Amino acid sequence: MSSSAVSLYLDPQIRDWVLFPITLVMILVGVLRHYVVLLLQSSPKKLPRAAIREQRALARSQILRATSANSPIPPSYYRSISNRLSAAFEAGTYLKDGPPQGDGPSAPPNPMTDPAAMDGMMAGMKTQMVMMVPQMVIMGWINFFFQGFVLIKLPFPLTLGFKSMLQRGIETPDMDVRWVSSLSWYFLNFFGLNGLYRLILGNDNSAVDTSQAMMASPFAAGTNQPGQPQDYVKLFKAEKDNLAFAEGLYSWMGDDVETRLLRKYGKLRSV
Amino acid sequence: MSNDPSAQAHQTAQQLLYPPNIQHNTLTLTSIKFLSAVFAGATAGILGLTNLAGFGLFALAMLWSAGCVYVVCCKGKLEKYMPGAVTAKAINGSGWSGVMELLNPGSDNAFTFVLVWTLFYGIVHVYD
Repeated sequence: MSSSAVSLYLDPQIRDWVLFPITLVMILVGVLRHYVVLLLQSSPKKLPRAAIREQRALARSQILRATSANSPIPPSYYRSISNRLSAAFEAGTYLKDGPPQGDGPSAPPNPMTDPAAMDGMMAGMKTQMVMMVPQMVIMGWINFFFQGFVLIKLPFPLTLGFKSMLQRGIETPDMDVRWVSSLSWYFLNFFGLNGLYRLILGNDNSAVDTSQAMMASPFAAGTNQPGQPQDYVKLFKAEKDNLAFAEGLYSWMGDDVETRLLRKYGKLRSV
Repeated sequence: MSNDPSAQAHQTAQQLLYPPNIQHNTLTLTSIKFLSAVFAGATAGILGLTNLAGFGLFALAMLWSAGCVYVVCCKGKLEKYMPGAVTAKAINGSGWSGVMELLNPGSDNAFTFVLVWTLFYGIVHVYD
């Protein structure tokens, strides 16, 4: 059993030349990553007016439907907007390529041939590369230069299973797991610096480690690409049905506002 | 349909929330939690706390900062400032979800605490 009463003495030069430099390098590389991603981003592709009109029509209908059960707009306005949108969806006036010719079902554009979707995918992959490469390089650098010595003692205990990962290069079978090598300091920094990046780079910076979030929801990330081709004919049909449904649910917020007001000020006895 | 009144109340409450304000509040809260995590880590490291004592200090620091935010920023009225409290109040009239939002440090800040704690513990107690 390792004698935990006797503690190791470490050379202060290790602190000066390993501890601080690793942290400093990781902070600076994180800032560098953020700016590289910013520079690599191409400006968003400008969609032609017809395509934008298509998307906005759908958005307008969704906004209308979202608050239909407790709607802030009076019935005449709601009904007129809803009817106009329904008629437009039915006739296909908002479609990018004009109303459907009526010659069979239209095929959705192929993601490989549609240039807008390709740009979206390339941007995603570029960001991924920029994130991964510096991490690999730093890990290699640490493994090469800072190998084979104990760096720091963790203030909390860990199970023996972590010994092989955190004490790599130090062949002592019964040293406390709390004495760890530089690689584990790298991991601590990797996870702990996200908060710092958020503070110095502003909220939506590209240095934050989102790998955990991405692993948890790969499907959600896949469906949210802005360049994804969608079959607007089908979407408009579905939206028209949704509008009819929402109209059934519709009720105005100010329907009985006079009664409510009088009741609030006690002028009307509540029955 | 027993679900209907609560769903409607939920929707009404959702409509009352104003996204830019929610964003600003969340950002402020995150910064406050981050700074408390950093200072708690430094304190735990310098004092030489280990194991549960250190994590206990972290919990205490989070409680203290949540309490300060409650008194100074929210002025006791959680429903006016926390989106979780607004929707929870509409559904079942309780404010606990808002309190959890104030208290929850998030995984980022927990890791930051551990990093700073290890750093200061190492500087003060391990090196000569």
